[in-house]
Amino acid sequence: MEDYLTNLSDKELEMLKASFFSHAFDVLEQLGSEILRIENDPEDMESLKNIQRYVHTLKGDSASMGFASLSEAAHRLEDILHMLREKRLCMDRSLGDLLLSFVDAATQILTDGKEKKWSGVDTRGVIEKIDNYLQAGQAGRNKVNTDNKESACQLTEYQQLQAAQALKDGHLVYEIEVGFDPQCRQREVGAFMIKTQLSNLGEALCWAPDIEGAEIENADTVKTILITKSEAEAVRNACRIAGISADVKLNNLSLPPLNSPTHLSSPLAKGELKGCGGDRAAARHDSTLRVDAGRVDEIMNLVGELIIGRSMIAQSVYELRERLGKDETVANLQNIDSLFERSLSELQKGVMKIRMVPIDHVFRRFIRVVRDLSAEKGKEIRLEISGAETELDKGIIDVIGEPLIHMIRNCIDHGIEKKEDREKKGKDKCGVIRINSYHEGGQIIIEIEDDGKGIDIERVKEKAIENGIIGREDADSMNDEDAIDLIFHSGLSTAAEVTETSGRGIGMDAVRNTVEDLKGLIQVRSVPDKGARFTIRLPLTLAIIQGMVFSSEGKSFAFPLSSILEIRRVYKDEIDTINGLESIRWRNRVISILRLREYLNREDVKADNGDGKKYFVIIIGLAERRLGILVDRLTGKRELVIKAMDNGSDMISGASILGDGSIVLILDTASIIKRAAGALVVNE
Amino acid sequence: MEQEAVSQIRKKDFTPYRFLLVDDSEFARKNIARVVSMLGGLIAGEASTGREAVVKYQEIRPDIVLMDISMPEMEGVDAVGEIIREDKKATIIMVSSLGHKDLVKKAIASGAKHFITKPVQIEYAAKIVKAVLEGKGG
Repeated sequence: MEDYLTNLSDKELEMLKASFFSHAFDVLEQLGSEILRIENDPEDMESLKNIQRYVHTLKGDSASMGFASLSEAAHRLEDILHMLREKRLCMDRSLGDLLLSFVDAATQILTDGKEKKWSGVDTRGVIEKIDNYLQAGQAGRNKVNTDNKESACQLTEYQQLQAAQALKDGHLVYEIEVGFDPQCRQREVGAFMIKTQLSNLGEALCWAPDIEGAEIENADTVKTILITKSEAEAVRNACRIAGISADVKLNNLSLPPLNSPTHLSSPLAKGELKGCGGDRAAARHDSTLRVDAGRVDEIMNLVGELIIGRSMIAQSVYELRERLGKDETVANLQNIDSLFERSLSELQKGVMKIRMVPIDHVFRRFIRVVRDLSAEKGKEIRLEISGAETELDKGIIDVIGEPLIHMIRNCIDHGIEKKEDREKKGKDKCGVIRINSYHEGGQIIIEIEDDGKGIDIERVKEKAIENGIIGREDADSMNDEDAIDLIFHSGLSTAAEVTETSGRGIGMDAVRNTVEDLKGLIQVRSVPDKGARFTIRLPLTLAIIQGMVFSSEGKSFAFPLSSILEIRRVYKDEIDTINGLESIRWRNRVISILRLREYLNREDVKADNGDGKKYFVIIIGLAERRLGILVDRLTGKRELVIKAMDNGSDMISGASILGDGSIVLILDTASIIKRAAGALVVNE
Repeated sequence: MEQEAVSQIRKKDFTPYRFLLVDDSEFARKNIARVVSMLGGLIAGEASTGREAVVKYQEIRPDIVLMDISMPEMEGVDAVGEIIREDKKATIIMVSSLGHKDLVKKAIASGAKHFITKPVQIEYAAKIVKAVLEGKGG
């Protein structure tokens, strides 16, 4: 196979490698979740079948790409899977660990391989574990064996046809079961001798257990199906080999109808039938197309241009109609335009859909985290996932995983109490972490909730004082919500990190930063002894946003809808001035408000004449921080295609063009809030 | 000496069967010789490499060869092939440790009649050798 690789041109090789890696990582991910699935339900034969298929694929692919050690480990793993299939092993936690350790090692090796660096990881550890497991399993083997002595020959469809044809032609079909001489120690070779003998008489279709697998050495009997013209006695004699076979059982077979499950006698019949579903799923899988994300982005940009172009045409058509009145050509144009509009909006949705990936990709990683970490911490935790099918932009999926995992770790580490503590509080000793995701008004909501002890507000305050984030007086006057928000403070979470979690290098401040980068929001609710809930709101996509367009002091601006919490009217006398900063009361908090003029430093923004008795205040939030923006007039909600612009101001994240050709500046929520926070500090 | 479970056997003309023992380890040859004596056989020759075994076979024409699978200067497997090419009726039993199952299978595919696993359990091995000599062992 290596030779085959060297015959390829560099470009072909690169492409081959790229497709290998992307497929392999996919397979590993799927493998991981199937392992967790079968661990929960050891009877899930469909899962087992998928696992076998994935491992087999990895074995073949990695061998041909030169990952010999990986291929070797996969090969060994196949033995174990085969034994599982035959019910000569039981699925349990330790086997789960073994299988997962393979996934981990393989992921590491391939990651290193992809980055073309020498991998310090090899599969020797995994292979050793497999060997140890098999050895340890040997002792318990008999127990499992008596539970389920049957292992059946499974004929492929072709073999069934073959056997049916043979019967029709007047041949005999025997099911043969040969018991091994207990002293025979190389049963693989023994079976090979039996096979050699039988091959003189006819054709042996299949063997159970596989006479080339590791399990044959532990088998008490071996079965086969033989098509022959010979009489029973001749067959029996052929199977009787001194020192190898003890007793020989022969069964004359009349074949089952062809549409029945593909085996002759099997306790696994149900599992097998279920397994067919797996194959269908696999077939579905094959119809997916792998496309470089960059290409989709290019198309997305073009769609954005088209949408702007279309709205300009619409504006011109509108102006034409105003000027010409009832005109046939204008009416036609109008029709064409609305056709364009519909098609474009379909096109836009279509392209966006390409970028959409179910959040399941992220969620399924949590199962493993909860499984491993709860065991490590000696806690019993159930993970409930809902809304895994909710789709969001690939770009968001790629970055949201790490922060979410950190939050889950926090839930396990700090949220959920130890079993004893839970029992003392009268709670179920098994803690629950719930993850949910759903769409709500053009946004995606991700909730992480635990039923643990909640956030210890006093401790958070203590920590914040210790780290000099707040003074003691601040702490005393601080309300609970603000106190909880302290957990996102970088100073605090880092300190907590060092002492408590195993230093994953990411704290709650990093969670906040990621959510901010994605123009999202994070909210926390915590009730002592009932638990805590984190709600993350994210925009569906990063290329087109739902924006609230408003004008302030003569200019059009927009905030992403996802960062707007509320829009309310305030009267002039509701605005207080504290320490020279204007602020209003909002939901039991005091929040600062600001006028954009001061922040944008734009000369063309006229000074507010102060005539107005009432204003709109748009309350924006970023992660846990809140700020009010005073605006003159609300234009309304629009879909904004973001155009990047280089304007020298980090307050503006981009611009968009409205249908009338006017430009809307899209404000960068994060920068504005940060700047406002900075101003606060300065004023103090 | 304890009662032997496997009875001695003779050829039809009541002469003992003649054995060629092939192993690079003298200890191993001594050990397997116990099988020969249990069956009342005669050690007609010994060889310590595959090459030597092929030559010795031509020279002494034994009734049966007990051949180690892995040796210097021509592996047992290849020696099996050479011997059978010269004498299609040659009776050869492979002697191998557990690790060499693929080689053993290859030897059997080349015409070896049976195999014995090291460490050799004398009685069990004798049973196999006897069965092979009586034509029932495969």
